[in-house]
Amino acid sequence: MLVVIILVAEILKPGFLTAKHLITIAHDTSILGISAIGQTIVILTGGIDLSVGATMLMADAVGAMLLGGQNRIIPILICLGLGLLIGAINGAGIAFLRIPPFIMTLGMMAVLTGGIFIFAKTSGFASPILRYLSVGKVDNIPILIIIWIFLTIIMAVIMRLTVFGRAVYAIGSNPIASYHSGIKNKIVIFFVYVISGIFSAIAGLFLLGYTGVPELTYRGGGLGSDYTLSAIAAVIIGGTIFTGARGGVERTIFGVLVLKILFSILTMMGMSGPGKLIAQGLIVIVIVGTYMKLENL
Amino acid sequence: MKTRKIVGEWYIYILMIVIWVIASLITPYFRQMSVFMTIIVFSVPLALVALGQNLVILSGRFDLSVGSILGLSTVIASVIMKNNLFIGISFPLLLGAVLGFINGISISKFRIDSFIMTFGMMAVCQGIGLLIRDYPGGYIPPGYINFLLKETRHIALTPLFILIIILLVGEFVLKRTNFGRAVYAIGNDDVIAYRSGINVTLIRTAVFTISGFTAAIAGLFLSAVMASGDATVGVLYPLDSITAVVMGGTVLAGGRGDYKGTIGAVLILNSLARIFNLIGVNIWYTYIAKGLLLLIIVAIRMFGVKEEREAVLSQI
Repeated sequence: MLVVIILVAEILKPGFLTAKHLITIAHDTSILGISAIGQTIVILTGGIDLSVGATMLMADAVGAMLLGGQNRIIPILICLGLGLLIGAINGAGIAFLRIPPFIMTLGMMAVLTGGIFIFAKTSGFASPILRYLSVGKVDNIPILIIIWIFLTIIMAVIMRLTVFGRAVYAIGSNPIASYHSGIKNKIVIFFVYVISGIFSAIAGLFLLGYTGVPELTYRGGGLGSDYTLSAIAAVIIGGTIFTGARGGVERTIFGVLVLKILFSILTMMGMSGPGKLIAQGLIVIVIVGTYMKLENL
Repeated sequence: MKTRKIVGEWYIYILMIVIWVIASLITPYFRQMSVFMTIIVFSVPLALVALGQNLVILSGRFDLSVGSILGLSTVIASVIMKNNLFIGISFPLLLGAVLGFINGISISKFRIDSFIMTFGMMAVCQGIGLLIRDYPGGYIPPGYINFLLKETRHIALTPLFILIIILLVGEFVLKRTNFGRAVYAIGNDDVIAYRSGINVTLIRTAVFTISGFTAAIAGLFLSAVMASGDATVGVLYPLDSITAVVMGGTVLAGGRGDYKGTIGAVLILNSLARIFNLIGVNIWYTYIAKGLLLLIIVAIRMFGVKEEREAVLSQI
C-alpha cells in the first residue's frame, strides 16, 4: 500500500520520489512514530492510551523548563521518570482498580492538561545534545530516523521473542484464556502502560529537540490530543486492530508513513488547511474501511 | 439494601448538592440566582450532546464527531440565519442528522470501527466548517437569541425548560420505548440481540443519527449564546460528553446506565468551572478536578458493583 501511495504521489507531482524528499518526510514522521510504538502495544492488549499526547507535551514543557539550554542529564531523567510515573499510574488504575483504559487515560489526560498549564512555564530551550539528536544528520540520514527504527526493532524483537511479548498478544486475543493459562494479566497490562508512558516521554523530549522551544498545542479536546489521535489512527492504518492481538510494532511504521505521506501529497497539491483536514478524514476512513473489508473482519 | 440502591442511582445528584453547599459556604457570590442560571445555560449544549453520546455509549460504541458537527452547525446557522431564520434552523438540523446517518451506516453496515469512522468524520466536519468560516463571526438574529436566552426576573426560562424536556425525553426513550430497550440489548450483546429479532443495523444507524441530530441542536443553541458561528467551538465536546456520560453512571462497554445521571454530571462539570471562576482559581484547575473526579467516581463504582467489574475484566 505504501508503494502504491508513493507511486501515485510521483505521478501527481514528479520529483516526489527522490531520496532526499522521502527522508525529509520520514524525519518529520519520527516523533509521531516513536509515540505510536507505545500506543501499538497498548492497542495490542485491546486497550487504548489517550494520554500519549499530554504526556509528550508534559515532557516537552518540563524538559525545556529544567534544561534551560544546557547539557544536563538529570532533567532528561526526570522527564523519563515522569513518563514512567504517568504510565505506572495509568497501568495501576487499569490493571488493579479495573478502571476501563479509555476512562483512566482520559482522566489522566485532563489532569495533565490542567497541570501543565498551571505549573509549566512555556519558556526554556532544548539542550544542544538533544537538539543534535533531533535535527542532526549522519551521512545525510537524520539521527532521529535511526533512533526511531532502532526503538521499533527493539520493541518488535521484545514482542516476538520474549514471554512478555507473547503475553501481550495472548491477553489481546482472549484475557480469560490467557489468565487460565497462567499469564499474570494484571502485571503485563501494568507494564504495557508503563512502556507507553516512557515512549511518550521520549517522543516529547525529541519534540523539544526538534522545535528547540516548547510548543503546547491545544486542539482536538485536550492537550496534545492531535498527537494522540494521529498516533491511534496510524496504528490502525498500519493494521493493528482495536480488538487486540492482531498487528505489530513494525507495521505501525507503515501506518505512520502512509499518514504523513498522504498529508504531504495534499500539501504539495496546494490544498488549504481546512481542505487537508477534510481529505485526511476521508482518507483515514477509506483506508481503514477497505483494509477491514480485505481482511474480512 | 434499599438505601444503597437509591444512593447507587442518585449519587451524582447527592455529589452535586454537596458541591453546591460547599461552594456557597466558600463564596457568597455562588448564592446568587444569576450564577445558577449561567450554569443552566452552559449546561444545555453539553446536555444535548451528551444525550446522543449516551445512546451511542449504551449501544457499546462512541462518537468523536459530535464536537465538529456542533461547530459546523453554528457556522451554517451564522451564515444562513440572516437571510432566512427557518432554513437557518432546519438546515443544520437536517445536516446533523445526515452526517450522523453516514456515521451510523458506515459503522453498522460497512463495519468500519466507530473510533476511526467518527474520528474521520470529526476531521471532515471541522474542515468544512473552517472552509465556510475560518474565524469566528457571522450574524445571529437578536430575536432568536432573545427567544432562547431572555431572562424574566433573572430566570432564563427557555434553557431551564429545554434542560427539563430533554431529561424527560431522554429517560422516557431509554426506559419506556422499544427503541430504548433495543439500545440496551445491543449494548449488552449484539449477537444475542440479533438472534432475538432486533434489527441491529437499523438501531445502530438510528443511534448515530440521533447523536448527529442532538449535536446539531446543541450547535444551534450555542450559536445563540456566542451570537456567532465558530467551527472550532466544539473541540472539547467529544471527550467532555464521554466524561459526563461515564461520570453519570453509564458503563463505557455499553448496556448499563441512564440519562438522568448524565444530566447530573453535566451540571457538576459546569458548576466546577463556575465555582473555580468565582473563587478566582486558575481555570486549568478545572481540568485537574474534572479528571480526578471522573477517575474517583469510576474507581469507587468498580469496587461497588461486582458485575460491572466482570464486564470490565472481559474487556481488558
